[in-house]
Amino acid sequence: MPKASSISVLVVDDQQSMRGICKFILNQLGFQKITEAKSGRDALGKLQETHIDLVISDWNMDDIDGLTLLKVLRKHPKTKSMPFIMATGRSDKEQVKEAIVAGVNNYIIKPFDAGSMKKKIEAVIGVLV
Amino acid sequence: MSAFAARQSKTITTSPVEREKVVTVHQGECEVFSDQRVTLSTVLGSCISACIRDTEAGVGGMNHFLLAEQSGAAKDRFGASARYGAFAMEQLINSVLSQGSGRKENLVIKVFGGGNINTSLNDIGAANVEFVRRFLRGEGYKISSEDLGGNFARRVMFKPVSGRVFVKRLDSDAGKNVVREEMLVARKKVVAPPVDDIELF
Repeated sequence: MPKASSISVLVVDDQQSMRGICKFILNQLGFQKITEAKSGRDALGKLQETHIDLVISDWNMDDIDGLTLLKVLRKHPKTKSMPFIMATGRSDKEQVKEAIVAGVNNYIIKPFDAGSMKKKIEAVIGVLV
Repeated sequence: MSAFAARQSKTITTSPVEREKVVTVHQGECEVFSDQRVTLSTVLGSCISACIRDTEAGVGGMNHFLLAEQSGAAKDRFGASARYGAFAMEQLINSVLSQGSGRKENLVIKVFGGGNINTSLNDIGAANVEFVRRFLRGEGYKISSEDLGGNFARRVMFKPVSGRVFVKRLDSDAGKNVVREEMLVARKKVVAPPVDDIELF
């Protein structure tokens, strides 16, 4: 069973407040190694320089959006199995379908709380201890 | 019409003479239009509405939300209320950007509401004003125009294509009714977070 404190999470969102909310919730769940990226492009840089076990990414971003980021990761041998959770709005069912085709591991609907985040993460990487 | 508009059965009034359409934005909703005949309309007590327009694309939208349980304490920065507010703002910004030019520098942001009508209660309006100011500052946006706070409710009309806003301040009896309804709606929405309704895994 994975230990939350030893898992390194990359939070990708172009809105500082959303990254703050996500980080706050991950802290509540016991995660300590959290890296922030403010765009898809920034995320690609962070993935090269830091060891990451799980990506939680927003969809709508300025340069490289969440879907493109996912597609890039799935093409690269090193990151093709990277656990990837997409954060999306309630009305974006079509986006969720597109993300599944592209190989997303799970999705989370905003606004989310610690309970739903835990459920989604556990569905992807296993029950947290 | 936006995806958000299609979701709800909307109050759309069409004037036979000028073929103008008035779309009411209720609490918890977000509407984005690029039709110059449309006027977005709402009534605000302690609630906040942001009116955001993409100047290049001629697309604009309005949201309407209330953080009912915010007390201003540090732990509330990321509490349920603040998460709801941040989502309401993000939803509007992203909708305008995706239907518009996609460039943040083209956005003009105007904010309204946050009145303190029931002066005997906590000043929820002020907490909402503080939230929206902090949110926009944190995201690097400037407020181009505002009518916030005060001890009255407001009717706000926004033309999403031209960006013109009309604000009418309401009398205190009307204001008290508005606040009572806002609190009822907000308690329901914040206490019950959305359930994931897409079962895929």
